[in-house]
Amino acid sequence: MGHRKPSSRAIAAAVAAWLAIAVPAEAQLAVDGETVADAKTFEAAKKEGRLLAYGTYPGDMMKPILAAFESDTGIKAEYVRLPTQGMYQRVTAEFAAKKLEADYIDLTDLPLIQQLINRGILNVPHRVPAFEQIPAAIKDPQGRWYAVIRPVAVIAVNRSRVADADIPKSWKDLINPKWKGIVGTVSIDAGGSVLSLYSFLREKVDPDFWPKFAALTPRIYPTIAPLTTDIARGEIALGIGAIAEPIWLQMKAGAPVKVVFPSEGIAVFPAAGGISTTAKNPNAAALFLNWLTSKRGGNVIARGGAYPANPGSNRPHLEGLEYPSVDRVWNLQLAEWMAERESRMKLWRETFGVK
Amino acid sequence: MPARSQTASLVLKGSISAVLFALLGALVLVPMAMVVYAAFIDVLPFSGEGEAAWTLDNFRAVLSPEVGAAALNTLVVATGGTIVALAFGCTMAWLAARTDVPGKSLVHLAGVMPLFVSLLVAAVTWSLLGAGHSGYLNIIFRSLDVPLRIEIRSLAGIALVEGIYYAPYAYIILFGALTLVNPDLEEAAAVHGATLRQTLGIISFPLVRPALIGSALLIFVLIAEDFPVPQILGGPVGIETLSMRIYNMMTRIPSYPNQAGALSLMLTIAVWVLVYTQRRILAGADYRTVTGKGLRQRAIELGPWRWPATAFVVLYALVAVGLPMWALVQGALRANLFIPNAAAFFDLSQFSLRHVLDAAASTAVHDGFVNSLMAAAATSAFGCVFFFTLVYAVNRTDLPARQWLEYIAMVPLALPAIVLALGVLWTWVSLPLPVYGSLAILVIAFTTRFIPQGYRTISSAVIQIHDDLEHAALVAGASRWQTIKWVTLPLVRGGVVAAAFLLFVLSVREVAASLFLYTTKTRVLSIVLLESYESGLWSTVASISLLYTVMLVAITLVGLRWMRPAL
Repeated sequence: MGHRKPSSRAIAAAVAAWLAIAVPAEAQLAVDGETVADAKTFEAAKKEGRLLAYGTYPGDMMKPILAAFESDTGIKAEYVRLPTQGMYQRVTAEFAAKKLEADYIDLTDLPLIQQLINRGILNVPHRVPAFEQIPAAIKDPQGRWYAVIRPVAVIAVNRSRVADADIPKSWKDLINPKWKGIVGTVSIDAGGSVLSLYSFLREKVDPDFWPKFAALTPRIYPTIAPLTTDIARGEIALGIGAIAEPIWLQMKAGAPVKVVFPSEGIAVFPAAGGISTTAKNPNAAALFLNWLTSKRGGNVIARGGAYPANPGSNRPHLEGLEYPSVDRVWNLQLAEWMAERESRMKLWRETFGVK
Repeated sequence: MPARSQTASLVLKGSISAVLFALLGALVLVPMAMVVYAAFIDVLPFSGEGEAAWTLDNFRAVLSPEVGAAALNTLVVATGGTIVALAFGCTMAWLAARTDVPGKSLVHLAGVMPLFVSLLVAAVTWSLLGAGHSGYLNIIFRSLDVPLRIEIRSLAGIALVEGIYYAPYAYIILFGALTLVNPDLEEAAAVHGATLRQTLGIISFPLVRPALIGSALLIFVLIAEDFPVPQILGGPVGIETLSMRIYNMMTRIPSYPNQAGALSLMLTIAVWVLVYTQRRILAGADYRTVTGKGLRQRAIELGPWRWPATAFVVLYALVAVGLPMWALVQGALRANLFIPNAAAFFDLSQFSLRHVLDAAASTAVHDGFVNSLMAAAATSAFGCVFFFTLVYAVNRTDLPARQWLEYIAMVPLALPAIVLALGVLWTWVSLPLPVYGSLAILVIAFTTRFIPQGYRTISSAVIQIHDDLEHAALVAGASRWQTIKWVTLPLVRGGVVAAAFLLFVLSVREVAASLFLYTTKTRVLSIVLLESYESGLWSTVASISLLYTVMLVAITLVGLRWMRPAL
């Protein structure tokens, strides 16, 4: 062999040089130049290897989000989905029995999130890398929860029953006798989305919006799904409180429906999530929270038509829909939510004649 | 009998009794006790919500005018629905069991077919078919200039839909009973000059009174407790029933599970009164017509009534299955929900197989199928053995306190599924057994929920078998086990197989009982369906429903030949 044997010192130097470059790059998680997790968290999360998330966002819409998280991090995410109240009952019962296995939990009702904190179920303060950028209204000051996904309640119109010139452009356009009997809405008992919307309408659109709208005797649906269906098929002409994405899916499939983002702005509602105190994979949960609130995670969430927490992420985008910029978006805040919920729901029921 | 063997037999009886009570207790009474406990305290039980204090406020809170109105609506819907269900179910059962109506196996299929449709899907399809403006039927009427509009979103509409989809209960139970009515009695009536109608009124139907009253009670209570149909059809037009109220108490924010418990408890007591009354009505009469004298099946000749009877069967099948299936096919194959006019139903450019293929290829649907099939098969197998043992113990033995087994078995009837599910969750989450989080807990919840259905189906068959046949076997030296195996079981095979089938189908389509109990690994098909419905993905709902209807039809066609008793 004519080759000179490399000296052991040269090997050591090469290894050191390689380590110097490779270790930080491999250990911390950065996507598109944005740091999602530091080396310690990422390594620990990778060691855990999996994540169990208990969430309220519909499974079909969560799927692309979880898939992107998996491909960015290599962590396998499992997802259990229940509506907020059912999730709350299940989480508290499992916790009381010491069988709560969820690593991450989210609910669409901030007072219930606060109760989970008070009970020590969701009490892991965690400052995500994007903490400073996220507005105070949509996070816990100690980082125990973040409003990671914020869907929008919109006006949806069936164009087979409403002439193009008549399509409302603002929430105020809804207060018109011509919609009497052919307009629908969702009951305030359906949850945070409707409470947020009606709080917004009262505070930001017209203090008398409720009685004026109630005078049109809208059809009141128990949940969002049947309202969506009835608008899509033209059983009613238009409705408020529908979520943009399913209406958009119908539109894309050729139904004569339209999503309106009214000129006064829009109300969103939060899927607010944090790390479970009993998490088996706390680092994976922290990584998940980091990722959801990162610019990158926010861009993935925005592709499903909901506003993310990170203001630097893209505006939500569904082909053919122009979402308002994030400063036109209104959140019902925790303090107001806690203080006003009961009286507001009572007033709503009285105004709309629902018992 | 020597004293020693008498003592041994007492010990044996005692231990059999203890095992049955223990099983029923674990399945029914413990979850029920959880609900009772919740009804009398002021915090959510087993959730660490702080110290519980005893209170009666939950009962005071539910005694409101709104609950009164909801109770009245429930009464109207349940009564109307029971009448519809019995009218369809009994007629179909009689045609299939006792007459020479043409195409009997098709009659049989039509009789059980509506069971395949989950009530969630049935309610949504009927909403599609019969909504006042955009219902498919109204679109057709409008296109044909027929001055007729139907509105299924009404009390009458809800009663009709409930009746149609609970008719199979009447069918299955009455079919079992009618096949066991001794034709000699009908023949005797005919020989003495009775008309067909007189024979039916005086002989056939009085003889199957236990089955008739039993199925009426079952259907009445199940409709009163049913949730998806009134919610989907009544919700948008402001109709509220008790089941909706309880569900709302459980799921709204803030929720009132304690009040839901109180209202459920009151319902349970009402059902107990009904069950007790039923026993009193049936007590003292002897309905056993299958005796040691033998029994030959003979069909009543319908003569000129054959064709109207056939028309009735076809009409029923069309309304119960044909129209909804057509709506499902439209739902699964159409690109979107909007239908401008009747011509659009046939516009092929609107159709695609995309949604069905997507559903068929989805891993969530696959896993859901597998989990549903496993849970349903286990429920069906375990349920049949357990319920037959129960029925046998109540009707054929002198076990101590055996009547109580029946009362306990009827309890789940009154517990709204979602309340029961919470009771099961509270019970099993705190036990140190590896049950919570596995498929086994779904099997437990399903078994508990469907005890009344399974028990009734089997007991209707057993009540009609005279015990002289079994006595004969015992006297001839057969052991108790041999007697059951060679005499009782073959005679009631129809009832047991019907129960197995019923349990299987009910488990596959059950939504509410699974709600609190599934995990990512044990997600069942009905949960996948519910999630798609809540996300507004109607094409996916319709596609999954179509796929599993096909599966259930296949299972039925295989199972049909076992549904007849082996006589």
